Amino acid sequence: MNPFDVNASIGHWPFQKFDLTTPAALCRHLKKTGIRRALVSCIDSVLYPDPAVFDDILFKTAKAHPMLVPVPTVNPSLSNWRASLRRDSLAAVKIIPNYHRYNLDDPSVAELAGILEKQKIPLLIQMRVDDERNQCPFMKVPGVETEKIIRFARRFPKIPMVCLCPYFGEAIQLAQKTANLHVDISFIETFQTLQTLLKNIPSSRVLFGSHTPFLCAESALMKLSASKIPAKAIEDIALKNAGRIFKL
Amino acid sequence: MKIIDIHAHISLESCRQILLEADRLEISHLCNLVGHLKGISMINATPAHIVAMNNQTMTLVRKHPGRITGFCFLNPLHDRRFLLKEIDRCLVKGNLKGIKLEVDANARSSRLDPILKECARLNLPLLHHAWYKTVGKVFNESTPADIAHLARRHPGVKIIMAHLTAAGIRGILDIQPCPNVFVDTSGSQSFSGIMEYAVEKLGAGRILFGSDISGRDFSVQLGRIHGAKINRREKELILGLNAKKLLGI
Repeated sequence: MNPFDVNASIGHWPFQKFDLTTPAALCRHLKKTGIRRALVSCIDSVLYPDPAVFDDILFKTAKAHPMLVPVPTVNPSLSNWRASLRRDSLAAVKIIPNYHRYNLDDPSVAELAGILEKQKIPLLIQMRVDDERNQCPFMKVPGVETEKIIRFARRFPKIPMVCLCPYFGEAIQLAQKTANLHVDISFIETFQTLQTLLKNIPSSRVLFGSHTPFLCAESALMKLSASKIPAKAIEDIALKNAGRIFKL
Repeated sequence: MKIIDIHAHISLESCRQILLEADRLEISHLCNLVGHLKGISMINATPAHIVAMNNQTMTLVRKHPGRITGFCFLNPLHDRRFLLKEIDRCLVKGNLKGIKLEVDANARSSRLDPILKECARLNLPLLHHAWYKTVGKVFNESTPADIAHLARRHPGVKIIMAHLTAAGIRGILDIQPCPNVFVDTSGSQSFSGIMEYAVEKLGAGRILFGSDISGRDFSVQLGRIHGAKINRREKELILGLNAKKLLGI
């Protein structure tokens, strides 16, 4: 089954060398690996002070590639964040609280959540970009704490939220303690990953995410294709949940 | 194509499930470094714990001949007489084929030298943990630079450095000048690009597939090899041919 990828990006990252720096290159890669469509955000928006600058380029260049669904990265601690939402039919909005250095209980995040709730736009929460143990010593960025995400999700129960790159234990906590938090599978790994995960949380809360180009897409694809979970659960994770949440 | 996993942690309890899963994913041979034993940590294990862990590995090798190769787990901080006795028991008289060291002593420590001398005398490979950690570093934990130091002190011993992704670009460069150091592909998530870089700098002949099962998933760990932009021959070497030669199986 060709999955819908909720966690793909394009751009540059100072600690890894990527070939997938344009929408065309990403499309070729996704097609080759068997991913049918993807939510795509801009890697440069993680570190560049104004994410809108790179997001504007992403939205312009992605237009020619229907398999890519661009997602803006919003930093609610900046004065111009509201402008990022003034785009046609947003499938989702992404936030990166740890790299953009704000707390989920800041008033501006509540204001953002209020708009998303009103406009029925799902929220992607990027919990981490890499393994904290392997980070450059000059840039130690801890993952977003699960307890803070849970508290935030409970405050805004009408917003479907997808946490990107949680570890196995974090994913279970996030899904078990809330009704509106979902997790992508990119960072989740243990022995027989999906089989073990679904003993703890329902398949309706799990989505296929590859974290391309940071991680090898083939690892996420094999996690799905080599798993021994029921066909219905595979369909949920690969397609159905994304279709439901992102209205695609 | 025979896939050999050079980095597995199998216990008597988990063995059946792990072998079934390996079958399903066409992994035909596993190298058990040390398996989990209830209530016993690999770090600071006592001599009695070491004996129990190695007994478990020897039992697994006996029960699954041709399917599991076992390594002898040691703590270099233990008395030299115990270390030599355990090497004799497990590797000379027993059925184990190599030695595994973790984090108890740093690879630069002279406490490792008697073990490495035995490796050279008996022509045994050594698999040593290594990681460049920004956070969570265990006291005495070795980095790839420490492994390179050990390799230069014992150029006649084949050393498999664990955890390619954890070594990173810097770690690959550390071991590049040491032809007796190999690296296994385990460690962390399957970050892209590192496999291609390792093949370019070390050659595919110095890279071995390792899953770090049972804390990891075979499919994810195989995915990082299948997804790497390297040629078919290089993948075959990494997935099994190098380990076959190194372990003599």
